[in-house]
Amino acid sequence: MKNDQRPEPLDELDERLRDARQSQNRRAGLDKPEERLARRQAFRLAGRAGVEIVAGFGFGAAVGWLLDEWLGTWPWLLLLFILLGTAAGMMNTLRVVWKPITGEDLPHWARGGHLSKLGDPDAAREKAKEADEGKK
Amino acid sequence: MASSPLEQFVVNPIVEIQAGSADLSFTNSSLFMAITVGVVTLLMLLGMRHRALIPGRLQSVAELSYGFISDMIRDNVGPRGRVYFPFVFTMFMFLLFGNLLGMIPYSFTFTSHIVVTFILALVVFIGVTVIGFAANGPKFLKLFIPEGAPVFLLPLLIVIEVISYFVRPISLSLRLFANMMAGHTMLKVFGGFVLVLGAAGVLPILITVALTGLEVVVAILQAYVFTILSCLYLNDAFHPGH
Repeated sequence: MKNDQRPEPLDELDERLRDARQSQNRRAGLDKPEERLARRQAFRLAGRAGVEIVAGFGFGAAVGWLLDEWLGTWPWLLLLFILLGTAAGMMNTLRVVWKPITGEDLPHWARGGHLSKLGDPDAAREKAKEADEGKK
Repeated sequence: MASSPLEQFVVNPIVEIQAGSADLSFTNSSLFMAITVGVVTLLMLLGMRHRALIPGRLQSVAELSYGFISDMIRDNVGPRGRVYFPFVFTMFMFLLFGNLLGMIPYSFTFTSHIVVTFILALVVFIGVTVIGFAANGPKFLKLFIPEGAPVFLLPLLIVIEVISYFVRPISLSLRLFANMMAGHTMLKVFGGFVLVLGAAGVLPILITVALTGLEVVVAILQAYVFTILSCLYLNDAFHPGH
């Protein structure tokens, strides 16, 4: 007969454990799974976006430097291409982070000639699906 | 005492080969590339040996990785991308196992060298450009013309679009290389602390354990990111100005 019922102390322990976990999660700011997901996505985005600007800057500087060497216009093309390269890097960054942050599609001026779909797997997927259906 | 945290990235020749002025030595980097290729080949061959209807463990690994890349191409490139499955799959497995084998102590991580990742990114970049022109002809250049932009801004925007196209292989390779190198350096630095701190070295050990876990995640994630971005670039080659 005794075995039919779960001993009460354990029930209580369960409850206490649950409470403790919840308060711990709350303290760590992890109470909502969607928040956790958003944070993880933000980290990934930050990692990807930062690289884009650095790469744009570096590429612009290298191209400017080489053109200067070639044309003897030091340092003007270097300066110009650093600006252009950084702009291109920012453009790529914008394309990566726009949709996840604003939840909206890219504004048309940032869309480029569809380089925009880069960094946005969802859009690419939808587009691929449309193309598939179009063929059928 | 503790060696430099960057020492792990030194490339040493194992068999020296000189062809004219070119240094074609077989290095520790080449050795680990060869090991990676061997491991991947073995995994796939052994995994598919039985061709069982109900897959065993090894066969599951092989089938799952096949399905993963196959789905990735179908979702991101569409049916025309199927032809490039062998290339994408090979690249993904090479990077994944290169990254993961690099996590084994005393091994060498060849993906932590920008030469390696840049050449891989360059192969993708040149390949995508060639495929783009082959599939669309001169219409591929539409990729660089933003739609609906005011005419007086077009010259500037086209220059920026062209640059942002050429930046792609750089950011692609930089991301993988920087992640791998930074992670491995950090592991070595914290490993070095353990010796220096004596009894208090327990703390850096704990951090190193946590970092090792993080690095395994990074190794898998970066192989995935490199591959999916290649797929997205390939998608551009097929659908410019869609």
